[in-house]
Amino acid sequence: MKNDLDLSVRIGSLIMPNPVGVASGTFGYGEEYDELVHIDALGALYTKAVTLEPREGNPPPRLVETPMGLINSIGLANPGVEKFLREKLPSLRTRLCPIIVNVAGSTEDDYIQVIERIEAHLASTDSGRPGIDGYEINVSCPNVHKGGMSFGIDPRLVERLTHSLRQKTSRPLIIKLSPNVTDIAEIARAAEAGGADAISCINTVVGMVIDTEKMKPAIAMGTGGLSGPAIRPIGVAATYKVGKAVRIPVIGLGGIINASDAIQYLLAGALAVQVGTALFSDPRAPLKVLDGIIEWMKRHSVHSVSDIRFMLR
Amino acid sequence: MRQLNATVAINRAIAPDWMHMAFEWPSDLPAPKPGQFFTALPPVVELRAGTILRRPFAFAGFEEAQTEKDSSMLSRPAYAHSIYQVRGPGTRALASMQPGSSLDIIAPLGNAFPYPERGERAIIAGGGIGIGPMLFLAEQLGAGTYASSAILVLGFRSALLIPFSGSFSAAGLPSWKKLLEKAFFSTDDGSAGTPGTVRDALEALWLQASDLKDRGKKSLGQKKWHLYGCGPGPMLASLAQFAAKNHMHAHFSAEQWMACGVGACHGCVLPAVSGGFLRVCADGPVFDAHTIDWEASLQ
Repeated sequence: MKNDLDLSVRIGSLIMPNPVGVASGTFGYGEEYDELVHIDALGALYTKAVTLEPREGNPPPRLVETPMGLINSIGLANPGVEKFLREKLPSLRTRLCPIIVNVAGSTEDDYIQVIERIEAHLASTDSGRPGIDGYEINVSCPNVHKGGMSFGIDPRLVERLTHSLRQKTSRPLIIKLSPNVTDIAEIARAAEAGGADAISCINTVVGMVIDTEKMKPAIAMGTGGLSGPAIRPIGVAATYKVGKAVRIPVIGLGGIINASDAIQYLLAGALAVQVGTALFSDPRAPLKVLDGIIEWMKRHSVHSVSDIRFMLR
Repeated sequence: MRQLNATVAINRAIAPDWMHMAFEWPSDLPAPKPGQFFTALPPVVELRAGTILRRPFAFAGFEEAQTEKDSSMLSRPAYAHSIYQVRGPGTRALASMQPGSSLDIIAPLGNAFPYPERGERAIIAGGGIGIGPMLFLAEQLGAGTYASSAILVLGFRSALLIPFSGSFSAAGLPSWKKLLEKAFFSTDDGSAGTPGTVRDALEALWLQASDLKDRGKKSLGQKKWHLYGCGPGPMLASLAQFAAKNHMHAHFSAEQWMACGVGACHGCVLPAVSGGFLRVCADGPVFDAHTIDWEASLQ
């Protein structure tokens, strides 16, 4: 029965075998979850953000749990693009699922240099799996002062950045948007105009928790990014708006913990989804979501997963 | 590491708001070592609680499986033990679990305490709920090939909070009770042992040891100390100072808010002396005490 279903989704020139990926920042570069998750069965692995220079990240505490949510302020801790290519790419090349590298920066030039460096590296290495099948551009990290948020809230900057990056790669270019804007559809249209292949929607929502005994914020940076089921309705609504505003595919994320959540995103207009925070309660969540989507498709006689986005009544 | 549904064997109170949990351990999974931890997903017992994260807990003991005499039949499975404090909705949900119920765990996680070097005496200091992994370590070192047993120093706010006492005396592992009988105590309110902190109890022992050493006596003064610690941040910061001042090896198990528990999310870091941050779940939870900037971690 499963063979009758078409689970594949197309993002630019890339065909993902199924619509369920793991979200950037929640899955490292894959190795940490090797013993717990059948990674090759994922629709895509979106890596932890890669920046031009290494980043230590923000001081702790970096996390606080909220009702059905999690606030984080990691601060894009990562080894930098050179160490990423040297130490992380080799294991990514052994994966059978598509690998989308999440790229973050403080300036337009940061983003350009990361992609130039990766493209040059891929061009210089011999044939075989490149280990990198596309880019997700993080213009929406709320946790670093110049973490792209200044881009993500300005449609002109998003269009210009996307256009610049488009010149540097023919691999799929996905722009990951922030919900912390007045009109997310406007930003999405700007990304499309700049030449993006898809939109990831949404990054975390700015949030804060205060410890009333210590009379100080629960995380060191004060505010952070809220994820988890608490933000799912925000993500579904954003996906619905963006889906109506652009012709390129939308990848929905924000608070998906089960198949029903994922199907809400698909019905709202997403072609694919990402599971993030749910991994922290159950590393099996992404593949359970996939199984549930298959079961739902059978039950509703849906042949192709990419049709679901047109089925909202 | 593995994610599995473990059968809860014991889940009972051992002190006010303190619980002892034991669950069956699969025969084909490596036994946990002192310092290592597991994460557990609290069951949904109270929808309004709204917790989503797993909770990390240190192992406090391990019992090997037992086989029937003259056969390979298991007469009893292996059990992993932990001591935890009911602090919020997640641990409250865990505390409500009945023996026989199934608990979603990922284990074993993190690194373990290193053994003392030849000629070193293990001084094992636990504060509050941090005594769990220290009981496990003390049991393992005491039962090991080391000629002299380790010294256990445990700190509590008050004598009333020392586990297995009063109405809780029937609970807990027999080995823990034996260890507690031989342990040195400190209490904040002076109701048992040295009044003050674990540091105060250690300073007193250290004076005694120096005195014995000066007089050429054996026992306490004979060996170099290797300090092991687990407890609240301020206690570890203070013990790190103590270890540095007296030039001793020291390894502490740290605690931090955790999300993934496997090293992926970089949420549970502590500041390193050399700059940057170390992940408690994947670089630790046991650290050479001199590599962590404990003072900065208290900010």
